[in-house]
Amino acid sequence: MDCRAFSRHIGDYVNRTLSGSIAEEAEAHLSVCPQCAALVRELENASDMVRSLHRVSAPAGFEQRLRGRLAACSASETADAGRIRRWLGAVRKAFAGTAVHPRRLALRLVRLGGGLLLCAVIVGSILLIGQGRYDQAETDWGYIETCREQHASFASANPLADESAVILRERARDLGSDL
Amino acid sequence: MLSADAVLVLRCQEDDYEAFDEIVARYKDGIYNYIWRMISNRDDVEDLAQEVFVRAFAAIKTFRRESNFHTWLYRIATNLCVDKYRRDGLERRLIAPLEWEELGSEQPKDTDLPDSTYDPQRVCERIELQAEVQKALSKLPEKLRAAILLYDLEGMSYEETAEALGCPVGTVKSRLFNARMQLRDILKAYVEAW
Repeated sequence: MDCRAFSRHIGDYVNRTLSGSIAEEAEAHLSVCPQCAALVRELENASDMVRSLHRVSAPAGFEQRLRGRLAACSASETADAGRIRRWLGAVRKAFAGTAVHPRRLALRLVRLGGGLLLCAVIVGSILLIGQGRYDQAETDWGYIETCREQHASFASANPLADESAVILRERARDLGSDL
Repeated sequence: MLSADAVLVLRCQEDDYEAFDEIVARYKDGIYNYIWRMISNRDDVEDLAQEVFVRAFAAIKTFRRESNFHTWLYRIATNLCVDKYRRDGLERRLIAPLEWEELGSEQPKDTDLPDSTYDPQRVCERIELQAEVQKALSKLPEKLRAAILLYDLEGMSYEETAEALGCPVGTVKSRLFNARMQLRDILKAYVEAW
């Protein structure tokens, strides 16, 4: 075994989890390779240092405080469960006589609500886009009217500028109306 | 043949709350010690350790008996510590210095009988070393730290560590190797003189 092959097993060697012929080959390599032997020693020391850390115990009263916390949690969970049970009871009463199980019915209602919400968002978006286009057309018409008035007063003072009336007519035609 | 843990879990699943008390008594020190070493902020250790048992209590009815209960507890603890780190950015904080009261049996008490083996210099060196090791651990990425603490400090096997971390055994091996390499670099002077 060379250094490269040993490096693949060094973790297992340090953890003493190598066995059989690989363990023997690793031992043989370490006996002739001081670099790998030094690395193994340092890794073992690092591991021993972590193992040597003193153990910290839970403080006194830990269990009593935990019991109090668990009691508070179960009380709150019981309250939540009660609310859910009451709600399911109300649903069951409201749909008494239907063949569908109340929980399944509640799930369907949630799905239906979600679907309606999605539809409302889509329709709202379409309406808003349409409103935007309408507002833009209104603005265009206001602009054309202003231009027409300015042109009328300008053309009466200067007949050569009448070409601009052609441009205005074309823009009005694009918008679907004659001046 | 069911293990002692499996029996306790079974009793908990049948609403025997005394069985949960036994579970707490059995694992509170281990979980507390693990969280103590995982996070830097000492004020949060008890809160997180209790949260581990609260979550276990809440989910014990859904616990599958073929799983290992104690690795499941450590998995909850690991997830809570990692969440805590990410939420608070604790990695950037300095580690709190070790105090006498944290050193358990090392602490000399007035009531102790004179101990002929008590060597103040050795105790001071040990305190310094423990503080340095803890500081070095806090510099490791949380995944590497969790792996080395579970394997070396909590004494788990590769398979148990893998279960507790939710990763393959091969990943545990590489995390252990990387953790030790990084510790070796951080604690170079101590590792050479150990």
